[in-house]
Amino acid sequence: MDLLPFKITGPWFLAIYAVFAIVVLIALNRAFRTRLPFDADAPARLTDAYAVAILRGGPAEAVRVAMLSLTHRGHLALAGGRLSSSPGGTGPVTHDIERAVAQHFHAASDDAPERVLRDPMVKQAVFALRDDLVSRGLVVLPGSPSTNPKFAPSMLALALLVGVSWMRIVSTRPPHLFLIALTIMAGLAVLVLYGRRVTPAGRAALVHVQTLLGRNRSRVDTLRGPEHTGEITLLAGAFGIGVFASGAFPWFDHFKSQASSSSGSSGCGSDSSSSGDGGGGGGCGGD
Amino acid sequence: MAAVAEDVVAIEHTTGNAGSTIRDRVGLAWRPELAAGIHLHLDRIDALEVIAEQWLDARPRETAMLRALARSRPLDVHGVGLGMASASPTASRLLDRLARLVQAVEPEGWSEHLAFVRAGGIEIGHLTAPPRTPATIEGALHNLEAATARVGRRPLVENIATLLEPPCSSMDEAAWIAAIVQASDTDLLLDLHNLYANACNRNEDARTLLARLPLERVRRVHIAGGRWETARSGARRRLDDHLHPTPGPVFALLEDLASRVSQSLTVIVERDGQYPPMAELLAEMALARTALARGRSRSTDARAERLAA
Repeated sequence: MDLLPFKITGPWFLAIYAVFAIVVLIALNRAFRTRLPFDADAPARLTDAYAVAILRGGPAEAVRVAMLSLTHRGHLALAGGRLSSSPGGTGPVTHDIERAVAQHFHAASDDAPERVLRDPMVKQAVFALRDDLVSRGLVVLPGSPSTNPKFAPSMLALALLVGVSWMRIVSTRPPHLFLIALTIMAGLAVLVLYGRRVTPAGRAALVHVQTLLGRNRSRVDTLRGPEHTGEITLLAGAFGIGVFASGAFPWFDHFKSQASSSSGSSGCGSDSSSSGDGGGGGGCGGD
Repeated sequence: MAAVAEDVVAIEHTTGNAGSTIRDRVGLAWRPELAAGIHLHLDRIDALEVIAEQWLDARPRETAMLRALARSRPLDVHGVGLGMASASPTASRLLDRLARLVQAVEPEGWSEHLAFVRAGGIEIGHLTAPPRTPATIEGALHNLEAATARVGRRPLVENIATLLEPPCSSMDEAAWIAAIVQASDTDLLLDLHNLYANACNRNEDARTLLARLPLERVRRVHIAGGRWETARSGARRRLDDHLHPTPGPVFALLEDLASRVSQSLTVIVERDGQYPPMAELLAEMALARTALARGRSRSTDARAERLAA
């Protein structure tokens, strides 16, 4: 152990280790971009509001947007503070997720999106769309290491961070508490990067659609009638329910309070704010 | 023969003797209020046009979005504030910013109006018809040359609507436009509702006015709506307000134009307020496609008759 950095003592080694960790994290981010390439000038075009919602906030967010869309068209209605199926809807229910959510409310009035997502039919429809996003390279599933291109570089980065730290620990006398804490923090940062569902291509596609609709957002309340449901659903998918002004729709406050309570209870994933343009209010999710 | 299909946006026509293919396109003027609708129905929109002045202060992310949009659909940048047809030079700062936008977005083309918008340092805030004189032709040529040099590409120029004939004019509208277009070697963005409104307000026949324009230079076409206004004197005037659907006579003019020219046309439907549901705008675009197809069909029939004779 004659390597120069290992001869350095005390806080100086910690400082060098911190710089080393930052370099590893930057290299890891670059490795992700190399393994998940995309053309920034030609982002994927997402016209499916539910695909946009999954990218922004995860599967439960897609369910929330479907509930909003169905309510706007009158297929769901508020009764006694809960959403339930309504026979007086306008326009066809054609999207698989909408059909599954509408079907769910025929049998139940349990209206928290996270719980609606547990319905096998809803889950199947939403996860089929999510799998489509995975096949298009817009989303990765951290839970499947064999197919996840982020797995190998992440493990290498972890090995580097832990390995250097371990070499220092075995070659010097205690205390090592600060070094261990620093190693844990760097390791957690690797795991956070690894755990991001949305790929750079997915992020570019989401940012593109959010930027495209950004100026529409301030005028969203001019869209009211059922003939505008497609646009309303897309805007909700891109920005969350917070895009609508309070009182814009009779059912708005119900959705708003539901979104607030779910984001407060479950803790939102980092992806919902990845674009910086997210509309808030229901941008919670993750797999 | 013209082939029009619901979901196939661009219309292809094979002209008679040369056998060359004309590819007409029908698109929509991009407005923030229509963004979601346009994004959802982009497959049915052949081309887009954005107002330059709305994007001069765009953030890098917005410019990147426009560039991506320009890669997915033919997109034009349309200026409203340069004041090309003015005896005084165009504002150089505005021109620089527009040049930067065009270079960043890489649109298919860019265009401006044959209007003046400022004089003596005062911004009028309106596209105004200048006196149609050799002096304003000279000014327009100078401004077009400067704009071409700064932006790096020649703009298309658009005819404007006016409720009043510009005082001190020594030329009529068609001759004035033709002189500028031919001397500057620019192409024409022909606004058919502007033409229709001007013809109505002068009690002229719009088709006759159309025939007198340099139609071989028309590459882009604007169609829009307006309304009738009645003056205290009882005289009716046609106002180009972009708040109403394109009227029938404008579609008839489009058909007439398509029958008279052999080059491909890109038609843009404009709307600047009282936005209807997208279905209505798509229906208006479908009417434009029908008018183009009819015009091309008339042209082919006429050519066949000539050959037969």
